[in-house]
Amino acid sequence: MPQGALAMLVLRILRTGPLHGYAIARRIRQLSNSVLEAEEGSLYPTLQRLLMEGWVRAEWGVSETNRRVRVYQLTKEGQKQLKRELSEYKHVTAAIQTILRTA
Amino acid sequence: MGRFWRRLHHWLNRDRLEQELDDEMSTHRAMMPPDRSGAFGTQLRLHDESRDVWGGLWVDHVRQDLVYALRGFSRDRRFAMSAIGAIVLAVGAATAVFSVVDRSLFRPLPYRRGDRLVSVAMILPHLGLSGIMFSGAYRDWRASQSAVDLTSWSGVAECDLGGDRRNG
Repeated sequence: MPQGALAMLVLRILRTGPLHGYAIARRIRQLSNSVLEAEEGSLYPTLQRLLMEGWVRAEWGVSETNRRVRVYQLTKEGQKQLKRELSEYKHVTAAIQTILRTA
Repeated sequence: MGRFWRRLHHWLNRDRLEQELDDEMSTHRAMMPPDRSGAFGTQLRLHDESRDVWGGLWVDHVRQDLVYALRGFSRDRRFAMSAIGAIVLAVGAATAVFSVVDRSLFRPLPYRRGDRLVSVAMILPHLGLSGIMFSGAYRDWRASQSAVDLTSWSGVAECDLGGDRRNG
């Protein structure tokens, strides 16, 4: 999965509420019926990039299974970024579909 | 907090934050069911990729380069001295030349209406003379033209436009 696409999915999944890394990966796998499960670890460079851009915030917490985990939460900037990326994505996919249908 | 400050914060705390990232990734792998444990990827490579996100590696590289250069200098003092001397001379000469050129070519003369200041002279190339003037010729010429206001005759001596000089 391209890095930018993974970032967009992570932002979208965090819109419903804060989650830790493992839960984000599980969510992507479940929601995509395991179509998107390439390399789970590549979630972490992506999360670091989102932290660096200020699109997510992270805090240490405790998971359901009592492990020390870092919980990620969408920031206001992240919500704006998600909106931008979604509208851009819709534009591009619409254009590609038009070409596929008519070319 | 802007991106710059987040990066600076990360760089200053990089040892702790990288350790935390490793802990986080190890926990993730521990949570994965055993049959999927290969699906995580190489933690070492993912760690490097995460570190690259924050940049800041250049600070370490610059420091290494500086240390290397200083070691080279202390190993060969004569070379170091001549290199530093060459740079000092070059910078000094460039500065000196520039301040002369700047004063004489670019800035107006330090007199009131310095842009209208002219020097009149006759040029006689085949006699090897340039810039001479006879007082009689000067008076005749001053009387017969109106393009320039000629006001002063200083002969061949240096000319001092006294009281007309601007301060600074």
